[in-house]
Amino acid sequence: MAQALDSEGRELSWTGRSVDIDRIEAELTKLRYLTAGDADAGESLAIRTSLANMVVLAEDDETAAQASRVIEDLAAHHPSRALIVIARPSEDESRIETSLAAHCHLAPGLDQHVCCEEVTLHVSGRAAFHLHSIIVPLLIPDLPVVVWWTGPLPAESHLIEELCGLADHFVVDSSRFTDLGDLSRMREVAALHDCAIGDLNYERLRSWRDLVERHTGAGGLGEWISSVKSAEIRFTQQAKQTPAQAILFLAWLAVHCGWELDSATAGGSNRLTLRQDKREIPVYLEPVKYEGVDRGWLVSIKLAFERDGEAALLSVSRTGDPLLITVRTELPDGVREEHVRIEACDSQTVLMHQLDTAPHDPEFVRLLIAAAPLIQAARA
Amino acid sequence: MTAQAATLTTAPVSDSATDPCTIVIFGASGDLTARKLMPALYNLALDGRLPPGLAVVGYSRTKWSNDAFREEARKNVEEHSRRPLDPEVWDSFASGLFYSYGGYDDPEGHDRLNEKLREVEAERGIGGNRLYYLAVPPTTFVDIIEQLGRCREQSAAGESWSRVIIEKPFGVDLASARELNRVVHTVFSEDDVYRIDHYLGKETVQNILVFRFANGIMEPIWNRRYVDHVQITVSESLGVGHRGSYYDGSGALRDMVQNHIMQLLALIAMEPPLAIDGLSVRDEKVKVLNAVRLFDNDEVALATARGQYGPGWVAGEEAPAYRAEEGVPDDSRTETFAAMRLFIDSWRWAGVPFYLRTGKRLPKRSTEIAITFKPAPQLLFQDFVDEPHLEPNVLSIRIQPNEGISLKFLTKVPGSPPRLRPAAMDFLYGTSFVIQSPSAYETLLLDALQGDATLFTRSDEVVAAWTIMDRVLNGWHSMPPLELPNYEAGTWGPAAADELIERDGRKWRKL
Repeated sequence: MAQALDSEGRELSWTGRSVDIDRIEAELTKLRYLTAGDADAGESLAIRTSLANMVVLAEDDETAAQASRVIEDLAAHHPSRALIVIARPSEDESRIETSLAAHCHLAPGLDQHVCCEEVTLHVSGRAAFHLHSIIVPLLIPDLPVVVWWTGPLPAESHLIEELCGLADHFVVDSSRFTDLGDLSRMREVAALHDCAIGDLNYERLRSWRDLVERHTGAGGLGEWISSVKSAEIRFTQQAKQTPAQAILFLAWLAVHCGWELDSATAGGSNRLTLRQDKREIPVYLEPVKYEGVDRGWLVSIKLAFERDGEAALLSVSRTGDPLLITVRTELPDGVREEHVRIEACDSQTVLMHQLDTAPHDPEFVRLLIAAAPLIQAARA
Repeated sequence: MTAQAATLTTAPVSDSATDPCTIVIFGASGDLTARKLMPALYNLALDGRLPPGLAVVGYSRTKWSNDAFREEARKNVEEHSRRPLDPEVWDSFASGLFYSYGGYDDPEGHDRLNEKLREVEAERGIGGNRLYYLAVPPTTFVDIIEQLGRCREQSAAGESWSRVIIEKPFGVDLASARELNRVVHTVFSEDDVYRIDHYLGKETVQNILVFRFANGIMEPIWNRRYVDHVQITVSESLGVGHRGSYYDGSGALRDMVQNHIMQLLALIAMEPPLAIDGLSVRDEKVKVLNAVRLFDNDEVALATARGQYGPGWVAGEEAPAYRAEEGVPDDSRTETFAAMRLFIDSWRWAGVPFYLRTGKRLPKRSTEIAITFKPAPQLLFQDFVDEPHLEPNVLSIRIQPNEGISLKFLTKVPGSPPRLRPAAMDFLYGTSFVIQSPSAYETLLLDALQGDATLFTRSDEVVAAWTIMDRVLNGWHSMPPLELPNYEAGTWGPAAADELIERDGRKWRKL
């Protein structure tokens, strides 16, 4: 068991192997003593604060390290006690390895540090099947619990159900899902436990949705909205993961345009067919190679309209700069092009949005319910 | 009233009031002595708070010499003291340790003990003041008290005092508690009886009185007009360990609710005492316990829940079922979880439910009192929250771990659109007073040495608490047997406990 304490008292850590929960709690208490500062020595006392418990389920050390950086960056706005859990159920020995850290930042406008605790738990062996029993004792009482599930959902729902049972807000990243059906499964489990669900992948679509909404409204293609002839959604190619972002966008688009999602059918490779008033609307979901954005993210969308023998087009696409979007509108009376810089879609930004807004997002839940036939068709 | 005529209504007892004396520990080879009493006495010695010349005489059935007792005590201190052993302080402290052995009902053994006490008192010149500590199973209380009475009759008491500290449980029901009181009072006057409940020695428990009565803003809102309900939780993650055979004869209600939780309830609900002294504080505690509405059998079915744990996982470790624990019968029907809703029929608390719960093998160790306040009268901000109701203000007093006080209130999240979010003002003992608190046993032992009984339970308190619990025990006895076990180790108890509070439209707090 090793202990490393920074004499500066502003970035403290502790690690332990084969430890029990009481020991972890005792070390957390010790960290709190150390981060408090010494008023008698003229130090300004640090403020230890947490507005939430953030439980991160990470597949491996690399993901855990990334999550740790995100949480540290978020600490100024969303100070939390973070529990980062890496489960290794395949190992023989059942044990918990722990490292603790207190991250302290100077509070804006104050000569005081704000400190948050981070607990990283490597849980091996049979204990990894009972993570709930390890997480619950380490939560700060009576604070909201946000669970951030960073990877694909496991085939077995037991742990998800347990975590939904304790979470107020369950955040997934469906770009990591290996089965599109997990979107529906996640919603069902969350509904069963009255837990709000959020998806970072859907959050990444915020700018795209805003742009399409704005350009298909009054002053744009508002009159054409019920006359979509076909749609094309291109996204970056990926090996194992599903085109969840494209499907989520399509579901949103279908609701936005009034298409009948119940009618979704698979129509050949990368093609789905939806209907609006008995009219078929082919939708092409096309994986493409594109550098500079993560796997499965949107590259472009194109909506072709046809009304009274006239055609129109709306195209929203990334340029060479991943954050620069070009919106092109082709109407019978002319062509307009607009370049828009969108917000970054890194985990920190989208997670911040999730935490800033009300966790219960009925619109997103309705979207997931409506998208079920679409998901089924896409899986086919 | 002139300044000279003003009466000092508090009765602080300084260390200088501690008379030279001998502490006699019955059960000197037992677990309590090893884990709590010896470390507490050593820490008091370390702080120079023990009376000069203090002798500690251990007594138990184990045949130890003085040296063996000292060696054992040293090991215990090294293992369990909150501060490391200082050899010089230890040597001085250990020179006052003595030992005598014998059965608890054995007159010869007690005569030997008495002889030893006289020798030690003479040798150390500390007179005849004695503090007897009954750190023994409750089945031996009466035997020891009777032997102490017999020995006392044989010696002239003189000016010296004799006090007795009696560990919990004090009786197993109302009748046995009354009988034990009767036996104790044949030997000791009530003023010399110190029924110990170590919860009362915890700093945070004592701080309840300070928080309530030293802060002017609390008293006006501490009543039925502002308080919606109170929850008291004492949860343990551990099972019964090696105490299986004892615990199986006791259960959660007797082991926790009758003493610890009733004491917490009394401190939270009592009226302001006239003074912070043993008489005034305990008078008010008794009054509020006597105001607790007693159950009839029908109410027991509706307003209480009990359970026993089955196998499960706690803190990442597999936990056996209660019935698989050492010393527990395979068909045990003893409850390891108890929950109830009480009402206090007083002007202050009429209609305010007090929800109590305790259990073993729950997900975490936690003792907390939470006072939930009524919502704001007009829901001006309903559109700014995504929950159907605004979260109420909650004042939570954490007894362990992370002792402190927290007040939850709603705040506006910076930015737009407007959104409300609960935040907490958090006071942590650990970070506000960066010093280690004395252990509960240090506090209580010192109080008993000084004759301050404020933090000990009086006979009428014990009777009042048992009067409440007896109704529950009788109700449970008359109900059809439960299907046990009925909760998995590592969960928050049986479904019946949730139903109990949810019937009132409330929920247990997430701890």
